[in-house]
Amino acid sequence: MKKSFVCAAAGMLLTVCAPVQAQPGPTQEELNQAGSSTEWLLSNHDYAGVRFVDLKQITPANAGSLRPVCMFQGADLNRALNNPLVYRGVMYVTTLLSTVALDPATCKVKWRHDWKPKAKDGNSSIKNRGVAIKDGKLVRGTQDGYLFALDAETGKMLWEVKAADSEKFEALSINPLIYDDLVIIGPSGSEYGVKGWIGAFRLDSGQQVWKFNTIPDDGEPGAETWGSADSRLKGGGGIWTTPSLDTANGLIYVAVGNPAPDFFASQRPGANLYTNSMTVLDARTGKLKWTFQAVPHDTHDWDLPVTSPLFTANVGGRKRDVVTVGSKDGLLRLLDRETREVLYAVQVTTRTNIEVEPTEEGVYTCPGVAGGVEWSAPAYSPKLDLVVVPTVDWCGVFKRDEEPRFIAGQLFFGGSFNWDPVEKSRGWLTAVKASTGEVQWKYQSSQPMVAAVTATSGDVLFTGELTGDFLVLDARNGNVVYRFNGGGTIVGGVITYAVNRKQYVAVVSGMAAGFWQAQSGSMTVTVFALP
Amino acid sequence: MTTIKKEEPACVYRRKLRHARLAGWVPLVACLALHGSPSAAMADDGAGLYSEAQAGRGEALYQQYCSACHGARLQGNPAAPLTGEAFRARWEDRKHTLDDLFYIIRSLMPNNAPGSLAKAQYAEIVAYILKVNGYAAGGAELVPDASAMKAVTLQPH
Repeated sequence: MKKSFVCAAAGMLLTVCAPVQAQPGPTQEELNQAGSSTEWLLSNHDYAGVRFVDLKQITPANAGSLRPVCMFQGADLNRALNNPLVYRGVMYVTTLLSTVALDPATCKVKWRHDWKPKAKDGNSSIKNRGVAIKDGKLVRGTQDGYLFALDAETGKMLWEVKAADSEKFEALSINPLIYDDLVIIGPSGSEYGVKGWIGAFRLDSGQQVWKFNTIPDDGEPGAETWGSADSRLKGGGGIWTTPSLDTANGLIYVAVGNPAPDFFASQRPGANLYTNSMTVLDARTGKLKWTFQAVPHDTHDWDLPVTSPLFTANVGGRKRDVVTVGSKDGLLRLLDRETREVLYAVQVTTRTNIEVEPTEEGVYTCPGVAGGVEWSAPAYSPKLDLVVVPTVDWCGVFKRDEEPRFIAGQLFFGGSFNWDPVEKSRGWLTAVKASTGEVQWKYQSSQPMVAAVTATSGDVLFTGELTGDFLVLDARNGNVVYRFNGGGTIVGGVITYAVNRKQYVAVVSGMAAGFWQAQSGSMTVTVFALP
Repeated sequence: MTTIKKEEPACVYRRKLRHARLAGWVPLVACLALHGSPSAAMADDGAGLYSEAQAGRGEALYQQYCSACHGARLQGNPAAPLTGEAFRARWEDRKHTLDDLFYIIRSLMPNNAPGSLAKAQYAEIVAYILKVNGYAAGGAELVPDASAMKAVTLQPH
């Protein structure tokens, strides 16, 4: 535990200072203020998911002299999707099974905890996105459906609970969200035929407090949008990304995944709530406040993975509290959180045959099965009035089967997707003027862009590419001002923070799912700084 | 789905099926289930689910279309392992038939071009996966016929 000193005046000439143990943190107040932190306290930096850090040592002018200063080797060949945290001078990273505390300036390991799976993996989409931290506790999920807490100081196990049912293909992959005494998490696995939910568990014990069914049970609102009770049993609605949180109202903005079977919909007539929906819940009770469905009755696996950043801006002539909604359908929408209206929708990738359902012969459609906007949320620079979003541009042919067939533990597509050759795929980083929805600039990548994006007051953007290139861009115009290839694909966290007032950037690289056809490496965190 | 009763020895059961297209290899799995190792079953039975030549063709196809994601030795990464503990847990759980495995492969693989191979080629790849996972070869080839494959339940052996 980090020591601090309290001093007391003991007489006229003598001041007594004694070391005391600092309270384990971060406290709720520190988390509420994470947006102004120069560390990285939550998966998207802060509850609102703004991903903007007030650090300006690295600028477009000097970024060319960045260099790697240390590397942490995770020795892991699973998908490198981790979003690291940095708190009180310690970085917390995860691999599929390990949780590691390390020095964010030297990469020296402080402790490492290895999870020994107790059940079979929920599904074949093997991944872990990272931890959440509060009150000295680190909390994370596992592929076999467990949720557990470690002592952030020592890495010792505090509690573990079987929060999800891997026999029902549920896996806990997201960074949990901690708010007050609640840990909020839900299982991924839409295309494996889960019946989705999101729930809250006590931070001090793991005991469940509430559960919201993203695929309604009989009698729950939304159940009528499925045609039959049977179609809801394996209806999908998985949770792939961490919700954003509006601390002023205690509301979470949950991104709910696609319906299943993905490409075969005649057995689930209706809108299929709450799939592909931003579902707004009371964080303390799980009670539904309102919902926005981006793609009703989806037949293309076009999840809604992004419900951040939340911010306040002048849009349409007046100041509004807004939420950014990113969807695999290839649109970036801005919604007013009060009036709930869509203020604008920006096309951020190729869109063709959007409304045409797959046939047995096949329909060429864009976006393909990979979207669109994927799991990495946009960054928002209030300084430049820009929302910057990474996207996938990769079309192909959707086919539906004659009959959908469910095979336990396997993809429940009810059809297939035939990808265009990888040479025809590409990615974009698109900067949208937040107040108007106009595209300010676009950067084109030779492959889809799915890594995290971070903005700073130094007017740079940090992100990465499937090729393994770490990129620094000038946020004002999208020009690349620094590029470094670390040998492993970049599909996870890219963060910036200060240690002893010096700015660092940490980049997670390694493996991606096979279909991306990306540059493969072992999970690595590379830390960059100016000389 | 064919199920084997405990009191009915597999080799007796095989005689009952002699007329069926499956004769020769459905009972093999039954023998594996009841008597243990595939080699013991082989010695007893002399028949397998696939032929060596078929698995050989399957190996070539596997290396061409599958190994980039599933590994040269089927060990997985970045896609799921097709051998070892992961394969046993996911497929040999008495809940999956050989046709389930065949269906997933022929309908979803190779991932960048699902359904692009001939059914016979998919059967060859399945034959190779069976070989790597310790299933015995025999004289007859694995026939890409759904109803036949549905009769075979994958289980620990």
